[in-house]
Amino acid sequence: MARTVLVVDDSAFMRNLLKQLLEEDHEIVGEAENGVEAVELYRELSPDVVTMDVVMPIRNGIEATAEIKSLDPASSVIMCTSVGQEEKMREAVEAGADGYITKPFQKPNVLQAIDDVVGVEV
Amino acid sequence: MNLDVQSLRTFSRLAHSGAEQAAGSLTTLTGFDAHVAVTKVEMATRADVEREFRERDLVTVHIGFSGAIAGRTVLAFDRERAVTLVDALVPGAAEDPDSNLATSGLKELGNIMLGGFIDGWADFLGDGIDITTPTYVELDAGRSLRDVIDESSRATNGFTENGFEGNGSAANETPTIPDASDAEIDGEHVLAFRNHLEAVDEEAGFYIYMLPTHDSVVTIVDAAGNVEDALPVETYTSFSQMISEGAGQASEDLTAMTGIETEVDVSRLSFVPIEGVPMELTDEQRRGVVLEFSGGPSGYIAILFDSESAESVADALMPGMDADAAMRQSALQEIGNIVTSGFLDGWADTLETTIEISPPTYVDDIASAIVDPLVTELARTQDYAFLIDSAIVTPDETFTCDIYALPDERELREAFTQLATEAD
Repeated sequence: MARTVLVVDDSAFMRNLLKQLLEEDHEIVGEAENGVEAVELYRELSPDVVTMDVVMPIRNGIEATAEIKSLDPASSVIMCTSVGQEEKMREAVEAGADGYITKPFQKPNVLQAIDDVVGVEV
Repeated sequence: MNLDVQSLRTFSRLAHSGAEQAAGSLTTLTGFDAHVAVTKVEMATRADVEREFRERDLVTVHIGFSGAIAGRTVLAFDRERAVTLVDALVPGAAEDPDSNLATSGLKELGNIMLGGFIDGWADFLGDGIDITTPTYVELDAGRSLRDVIDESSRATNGFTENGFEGNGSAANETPTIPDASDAEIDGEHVLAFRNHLEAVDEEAGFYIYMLPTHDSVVTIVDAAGNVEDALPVETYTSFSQMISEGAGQASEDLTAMTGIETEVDVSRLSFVPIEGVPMELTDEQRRGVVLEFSGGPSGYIAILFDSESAESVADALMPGMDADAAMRQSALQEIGNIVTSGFLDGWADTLETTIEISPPTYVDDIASAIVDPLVTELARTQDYAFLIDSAIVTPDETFTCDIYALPDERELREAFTQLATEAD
């Protein structure tokens, strides 16, 4: 069964790429280009999974993740970012991130991360 | 050997005033109005310095020096420029630029320019520096710096077929010529001074390179440095290594994104007067992104492509897609973002800190103009900059990606100190 996914990234190119990678297996229910939009859309759509960029204008992905987690502790947020610094990963985990994959990634990496976070449907 | 920023400033000032002296000599001798565009102190690997020579078709004049300090200086210009100079020095000689008369003229020009370049260092140290007779070496693309210096050493010691034209030695005895390896500071890195001279109204430039020996660097640091701030030179080379590794990661990420094999072509750390930074970049159009990073250290980074490369990268990122201009721009921003992270993440992990990276700002302008506002901002608090430049290329020349990072000088020094402490 397809999961509903909210794609959050300030890059139109990356949002497009993620949609291409995921749409065969999952349903993209929304796109946000900053942390504020991400929180608003999460409230509205309650997706199964959020793929969340870290570096974004207005509000970054770590702050947005913390807010989504405070709204819904059962939410599933996977950081999809080019930032691979160990300290940043720790910050993401502290904010409540459930997974962390670094760009550039391949389709299997993203699908596996979603399966790891929300479990494989039988 | 320890090295401090005060010494680097002194190195830079001496090299710059020496190059100005050389430019003045050039103008007097040839009538070409020349000025010093930029002077860099480079902490580079031997391979990188060699590459600079290897990739250009250069005519060079070398002299060795010894005494208070020792090493080699090289005056290099493009072949076409050399012919113009020969004609100005010896009217009519350009008809046969390979003649003994023509090369003799160039050697004498080099002798006078490089001699003037060295004089300032001797005055600063309050001691004599002897110079050898000049050697003329045509540097066909493909020859290494070591080849050239070896040939230069042989020629300077009298083993050339053409003999010498004139005697540029300031001493009665022939000074001992340092071997190329004497310039190495740790078996791989060299401290090189690169002065870029420009002739007014002409785009083609001249370069003066100076490669002092390891012992000479110690001598100058002792005379000019601030012992309290001095750090082991290995700290700088460790950082250079970190830059190389960052460039390597960025190259891997570019390959993963585009599916095109890439490799790091050059990766350098240099110390430059802040106003000289834009002159280090081309006046040709570039597209890409500028990002600000903050943490330890803070600064700016620019990821730039020439127009053709930018199109190639966008095509590779979106194969078969008829993407509009906005999507292509977004793709370039994302690649800039990923390359920057690849470049900086290793620094953050090594320094056990975080480096925040801003969202990428798309730029499309001549390269020097792109960095101008970044330099203006940094110039509020510093008069010199550590410039980090790397180039990532594809073997088949599909694209070239230039990376320029300009960290805050004070914060980078703190990072150096941390690296030195950890090394202890």
